[in-house]
Amino acid sequence: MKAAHLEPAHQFGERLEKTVLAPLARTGFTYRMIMVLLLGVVLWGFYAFTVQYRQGLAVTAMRDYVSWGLYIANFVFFIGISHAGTLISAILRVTQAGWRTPVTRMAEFITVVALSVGAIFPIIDMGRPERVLNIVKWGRWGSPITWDILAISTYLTGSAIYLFLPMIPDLALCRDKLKGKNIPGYKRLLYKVLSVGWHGGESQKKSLFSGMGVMAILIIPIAVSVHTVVSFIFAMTLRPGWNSTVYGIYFVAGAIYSGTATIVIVMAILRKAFHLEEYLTIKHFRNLGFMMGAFVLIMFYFNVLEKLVPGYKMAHGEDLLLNQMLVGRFAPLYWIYVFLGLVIPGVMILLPKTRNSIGWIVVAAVAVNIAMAFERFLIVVPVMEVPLMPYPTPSYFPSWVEWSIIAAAIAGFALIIAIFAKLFPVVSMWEVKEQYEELHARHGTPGHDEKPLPALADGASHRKEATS
Amino acid sequence: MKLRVLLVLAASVALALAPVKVAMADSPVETRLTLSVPGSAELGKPLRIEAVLVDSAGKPVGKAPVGLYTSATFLSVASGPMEIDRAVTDASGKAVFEYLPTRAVNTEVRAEFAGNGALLPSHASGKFTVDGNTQIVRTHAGFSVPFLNKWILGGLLIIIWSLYLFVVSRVLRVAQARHN
Repeated sequence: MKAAHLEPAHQFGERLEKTVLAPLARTGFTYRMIMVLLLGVVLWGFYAFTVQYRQGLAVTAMRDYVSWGLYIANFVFFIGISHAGTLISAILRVTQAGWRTPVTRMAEFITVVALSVGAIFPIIDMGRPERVLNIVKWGRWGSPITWDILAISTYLTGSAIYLFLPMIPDLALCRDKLKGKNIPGYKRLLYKVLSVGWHGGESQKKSLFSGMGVMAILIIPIAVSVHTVVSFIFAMTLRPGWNSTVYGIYFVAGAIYSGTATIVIVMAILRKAFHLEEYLTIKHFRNLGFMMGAFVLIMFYFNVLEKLVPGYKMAHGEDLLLNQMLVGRFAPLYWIYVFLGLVIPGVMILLPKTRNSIGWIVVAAVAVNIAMAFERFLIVVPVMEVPLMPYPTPSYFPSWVEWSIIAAAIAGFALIIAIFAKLFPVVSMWEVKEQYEELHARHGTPGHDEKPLPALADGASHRKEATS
Repeated sequence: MKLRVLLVLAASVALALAPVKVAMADSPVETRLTLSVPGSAELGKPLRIEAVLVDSAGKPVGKAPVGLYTSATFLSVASGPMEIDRAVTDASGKAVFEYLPTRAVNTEVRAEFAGNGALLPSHASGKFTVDGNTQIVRTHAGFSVPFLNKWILGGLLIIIWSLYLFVVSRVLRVAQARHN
């Protein structure tokens, strides 16, 4: 494509603002219906929790031997997908990947929401939520639980700051552009307060960019450390399966993998719902697809390592665990995970026809997330079912209370994302505009032969095709 | 006639008593176990408990195995006697046990001689109070590396949260510069 097709930057900017701000000013019937449905599931889960709170953990399928089940598996899953955002966004920002700009905001949303939802699970798992304060009262520095609380709260705070900083110019835009529109008073107040008086002056830009620079670098090691610390809850024990030195990096890799898949799914939904086709193009989906492809190989490597090394040494307990996983009770779940999580996405990214289709990449992402949910379950439950004393092998299957609370968590995650998307712009408008202006300045004059920045050029051509 | 009846009766009594006498000579002898425990004990300090086994005639029984038990609850579901030590009596019938009290509670111990073909089983109990509040179970790291301790973790957290505060100060600067 020739750069001569590019329209003037101000026209592009106006259209961008119109498209991104439109969902903030109006709410349709379908959106309300989806909200009601999600809220219904959340309320059902809350009811299930009240049953658990009143009657104790006996209403779950967890017992003396399997004391961690679906709750802890989902804790690991949600903390994992939280890596979607901040980590990927920060890596792309630090490496100045040009195509990142329309993606980062959604990724950062996902991080904050997934972390908030995920962090609730250990508290639900305790049965007596008020006892979480015992960590503050009696916590010891030597306990991985203490490290976990510190790491997650630090990461959540950092992610919230990292989400907020690049949103300030866009919040100011909301404040100014939605002024005459018929929006509720609380939204006006929200934009006014959160935009902290931004007008885009040089000194403001300097302060904001220095803060963003610090956070982009700082958040990467914090994100890596959080999932490493989450893995320590398992890896610091002598149980078969968990007694591993690769668990930290294995967890981080799995987190980025499922996180990337979650971005793809959320991007596809918001793209369709908010008509963002011009800004979220096949380029973004393909690049995230390549990222998933790379992680297919990494996850495959870790899976081989995780089975081969203990299988060769066959320490006490490992034989039962490996048997259960590969040919026993958990074999169907494990091989579905391998098929959905490694084979399907791997093939889809490998084939040009599927990797160049948004629909197929979304299918691959859904397969990855289902597989990773299974994988998190397989990390927790089969190991708990290996008896440490000479007892019969226990058998765990979650109760309706556990399923209900998990359904509520997933619905809650979607609900908060949907509310966020109605309150805040889902695309970083100022960054996309800045990138387009830069592109236009370099390539906007007719007859220029240089290849323009691909992501926005794709979007521009998409629009041209749509309007012609 | 009278004499014949008396003779038959006498013969019957003699026949009836003869095997009893033989059986009594082979039956196990009763035993008696006495347990001496101190009235009180200190948490974490090993305790010496003695049991003495004698037979029905008060004669010490040597080379007899004696077990020492206390009651225990396991995983809140099963409870019963838990063997804490086992000793063999010496020539004076004395068995010596060593017990490490791990909980500051009123403790009851029970010594048991299980018996054998020649001696009947016997048992004895004793109670004592364990006092103290010292921590008796400690985990020890294999080795310590200088400067590699909790302060590293604390220091890291302080650095991270200081940087957060720095970033927040940037936001405040943005707010302050609203009129510039």
